[in-house]
Amino acid sequence: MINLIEVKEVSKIYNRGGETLVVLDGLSLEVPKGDFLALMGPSGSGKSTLLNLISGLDSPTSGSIIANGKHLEKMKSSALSDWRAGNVGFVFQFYNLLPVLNAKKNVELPLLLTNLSALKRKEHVATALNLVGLADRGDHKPSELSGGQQQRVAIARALVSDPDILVCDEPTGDLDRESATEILNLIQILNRDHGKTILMVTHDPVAAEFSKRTLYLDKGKLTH
Amino acid sequence: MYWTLIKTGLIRKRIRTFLTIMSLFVAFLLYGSLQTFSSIFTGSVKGLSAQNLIVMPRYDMFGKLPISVAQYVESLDGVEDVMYFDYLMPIKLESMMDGVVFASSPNFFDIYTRFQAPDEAKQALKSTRSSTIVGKLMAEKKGIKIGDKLSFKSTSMNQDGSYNWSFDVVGFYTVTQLAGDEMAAIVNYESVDEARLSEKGTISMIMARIANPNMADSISDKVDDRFMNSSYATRTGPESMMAVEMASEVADIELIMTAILLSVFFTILLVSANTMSQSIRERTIEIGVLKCLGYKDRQLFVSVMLEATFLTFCATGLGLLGTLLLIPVVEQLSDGVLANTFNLELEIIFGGFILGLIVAFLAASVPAYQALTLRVVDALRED
Ligand SMILES: Nc1ncnc2c1ncn2[C@@H]1O[C@H](COP(=O)(O)OP(=O)(O)OP(=O)(O)O)[C@@H](O)[C@H]1O
Ligand SMILES: [Mg+2]
Repeated sequence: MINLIEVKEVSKIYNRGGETLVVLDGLSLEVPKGDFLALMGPSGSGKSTLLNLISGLDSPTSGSIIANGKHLEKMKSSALSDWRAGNVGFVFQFYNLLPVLNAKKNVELPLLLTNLSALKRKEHVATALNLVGLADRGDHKPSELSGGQQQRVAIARALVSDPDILVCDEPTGDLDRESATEILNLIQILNRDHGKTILMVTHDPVAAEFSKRTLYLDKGKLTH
Repeated sequence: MYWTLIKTGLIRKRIRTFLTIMSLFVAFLLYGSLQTFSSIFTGSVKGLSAQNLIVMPRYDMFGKLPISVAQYVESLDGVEDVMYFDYLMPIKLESMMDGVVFASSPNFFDIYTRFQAPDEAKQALKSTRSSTIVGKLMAEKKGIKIGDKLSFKSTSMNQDGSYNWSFDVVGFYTVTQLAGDEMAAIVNYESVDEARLSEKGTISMIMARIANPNMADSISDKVDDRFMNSSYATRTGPESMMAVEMASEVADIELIMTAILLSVFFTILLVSANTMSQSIRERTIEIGVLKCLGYKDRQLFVSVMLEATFLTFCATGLGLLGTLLLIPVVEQLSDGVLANTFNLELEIIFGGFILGLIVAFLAASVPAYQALTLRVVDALRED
């Protein structure tokens, strides 16, 4: 199996007031295409930091990150933006939808960066909302949706430009068990039926059950 | 794309956006009005002659002098010619007149060179005592033609015991400045004075053309000294100086008003600018999310700047439009005296939008720069 993501000897070190904080310590990781990886570990262990590096939001202090054939650590901010737009979908713990826009408009946001026609964009939005089971809620504002529904809109937004990688940082951290299960089922379907490679940070062992494999991060290193 | 982002910013808190636009609107209305209407204060002073002396009642601008004062002034060395007039006040509602009537010595146009009329008309005014030269603006407004009779009721009683007066229109005059001065008619003093039953032999103002402007002071002193202890003390001075003096009280008021308005203006601008930057700062997480989705730093910077510019331009446009709508109101309130005086000059419009751009820039540059440099990772850390 080919590796979609290769993290090689990556360190992330913060200097704060003379103190050095080693968040990631020579960490290596390979993620094959179609993987569904759960990352667990204590708070502050660097899970989000690792996700940010892999998704091109942050750059490592040393080491290299190859994702979809590109050396992310060598790319400039604007090139990284383009790369993210085409390759990564984000799902956050607090959904992070734009409150003034309805579901459709929120989902459409990534497409405004492409040169798709309005009609095409509408089609893609409909497909994505359909996939997350919210075809009939397109005109609702985030405030008119439940947490689980908002998270599904966020997933639709992450999917709409059809990226290979889906990055989910505690996607069920703010949801009750029932909604969480729905979301996890949805993510599983995206992995299994749509071939998305999924990186998911979670504190919840039950959530981790949905993945293909689980890695533990502690003191900047991965354990199994 | 930019439009979606801008709209998102603006409709985020509609009431705040509305209030910001409204307060900026007031600021730009102030700006437009100050710029446009300040010509009231400065306009009247231009184009006056230093060769003309004005003699007025000393203590009451609207009082009267006996015609003998004019005769005395004319007798002085260095005085070339003397013109004098009295106001004949038409009763507004019952008049085809909208302004005043100058009952003047026939040489009105020879001395008062700000007023211009064709030679035939001036000739007719001198030769025929029933003739009148009407201001062009009033003629246009009232549809008065040469050969018409200018009839009106006045506060002065005519010899037949009525208040009706009537003159033959022989031509029109124009002024170089202040179209309000065209809202008047010039008639022959003698014919009015003979016909009226009260205030006979009195005049409101004398204008003397002197041979040499350097003699203005000595002649003025001579006139004022001569009548100092009479019941009709005079005040004399060059036309230009008198106008400035008359305007100076107004000018003081103008200065105070301008100062107040300016401070209000800048306060509004600062408050609005602050509100705008705050509104952008509140969106840190949203901007972070957009960056995640692949929006570039530069795009977000531009969108924040555009949003602020859009907002101020709305307000600038409304403020200037408001000024435009105020012009006819002010002209109406002035009873036509200030008709056609004001224009929303292109410069003012241009300046307004430049000012809007500056405000937008002041308000948005810092938060836009923050948006530009915001690290997504920091924006999204939920601790
Ligand atoms: N900009 C920064 N400057 C300094 N330290 C930072 C910065 N960003 C993160 N850190 C530190 O890096 C460590 C790892 O942070 P990270 O957010 O990756 O942890 P996490 O495993 O995701 O924790 P949680 O489970 O609470 O989300 C923390 O100790 C944090 O304080
Ligand atoms: Mg985290």
